[in-house]
Amino acid sequence: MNPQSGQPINPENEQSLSPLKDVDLVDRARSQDQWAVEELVHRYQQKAYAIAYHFTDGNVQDAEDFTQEAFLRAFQNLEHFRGDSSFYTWFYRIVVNVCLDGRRRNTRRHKIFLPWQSPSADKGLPPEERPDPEAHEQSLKAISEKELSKEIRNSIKSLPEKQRVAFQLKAFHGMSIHEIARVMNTAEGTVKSHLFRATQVLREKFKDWEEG
Amino acid sequence: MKPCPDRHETIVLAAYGELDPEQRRDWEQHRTVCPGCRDEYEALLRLLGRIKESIPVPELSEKGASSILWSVKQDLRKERGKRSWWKEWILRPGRLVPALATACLVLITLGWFGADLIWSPEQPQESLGPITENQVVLRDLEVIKNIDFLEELETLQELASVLDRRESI
Repeated sequence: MNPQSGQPINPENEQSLSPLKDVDLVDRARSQDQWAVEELVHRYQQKAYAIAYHFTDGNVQDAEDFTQEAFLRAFQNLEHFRGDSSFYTWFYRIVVNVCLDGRRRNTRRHKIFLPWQSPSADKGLPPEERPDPEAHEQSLKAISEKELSKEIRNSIKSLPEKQRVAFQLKAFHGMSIHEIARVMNTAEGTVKSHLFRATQVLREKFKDWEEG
Repeated sequence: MKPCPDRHETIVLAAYGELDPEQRRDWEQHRTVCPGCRDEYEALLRLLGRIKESIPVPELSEKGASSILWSVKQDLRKERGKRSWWKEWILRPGRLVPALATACLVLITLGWFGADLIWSPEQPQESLGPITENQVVLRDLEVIKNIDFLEELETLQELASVLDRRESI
C-alpha cells in the first residue's frame, strides 16, 4: 500500500501498456510467446531495477545485472508459479533473493581477494563517499544535506538483513505489509516487528537532526 | 513531550499507513488529545520523507532497458536450445496424449497384421536356402544306393518276428 495514495503498488495497474493481465501474459510466456516475455520485462523492469538499485547501495551496473538475472530466473521457473499470489509479488521475491545472493557473493569475493581490508559498512563506497569519522562524532544538527544523505545510507546499510529488506520495501517501494510478507515468505507479524525495529533504530539515530 | 509508551507501534504503523479502520479511528482520537504522540508521529513522517529523498532512484536508461531485454531473450534461447527437440515437441501442451495414442495404434496394427506374415507355417520351406536343398538330395541318393541292403535287413526282421511268434506259442 502506498502511504501517500493508499493504493497498492502494482505495475500492472500503474504502467501497463497492454490490456492483458499478468496471468494471461504468464500463460503465454510459458508456451514461449516472445511478445509476452517482452511485455512482462517492460512491465516490471523499472520496479525491479529500483529494488536492485537500493539493495546494491546505488551500484548501477550491479543493479542492471541483478535485474537481468532475476528475469532470467523467473522465466526459467515459470512452471513453478502456481498463481497463489500475484505475479509481481512472486517476481519481487525473486528480485530480492537475487540481490541478497549477489551481495553475499560479492562479500565472499571481497573477503577472499581483499582479506587485508577491514570489514566495515563503508567498504563498498568510494573514498569521497565514506563518512568522515570526525563528522560522525559531531552532532547531526550541524551536518550538511549531502552528509545527512550519506549518513542515512550508512545507517540503512548497517541494519540487520531482514530489517533492512522490510524497511526498504516499505519506505522506498511503498509495498504493503501483506505484500512484503509475501515477498519475504514470512508472517505479517514478523514483517511488522522488523519494520518497527528498523524504524526505531533510524528514529533514534536521527533524533538530533529532527530536533535541530 | 514524550509519546505514550504503549503507542510506539501504533505511531509507526500510522506513519506507514498500515492501521486498519478501527485502529485508525482510535489513533485519530488519541492524536488530538496527546501532543507527545502527535509530535512523534509528525517527526517520524518528516524523517521517512527525508530518507526517501536521500536515495533517489535513477530511471533505468533506454540502453540499460534494451540491454536487459536482449540478454534475457538471448539466455532463454540458449536455455531452450539445450533441451532436445523431441522433448520440446512432445512436452508442448496437447501433444503428449495424441502422440501416445498414435504410437499405441501403430503397435496394435503391426501386431495384428504383421504376426501372420512373420510366423506363417509356409515361411520356413519358402525360405530354404540352396545349401539345405543340396543336403536333402545327398541323403536321398544314399538311401537309393543302399536299397538292397535295406531290403535284406527288412527280410531278416520279418524272419526274427516269425521265430518269436513260434516260440511264444
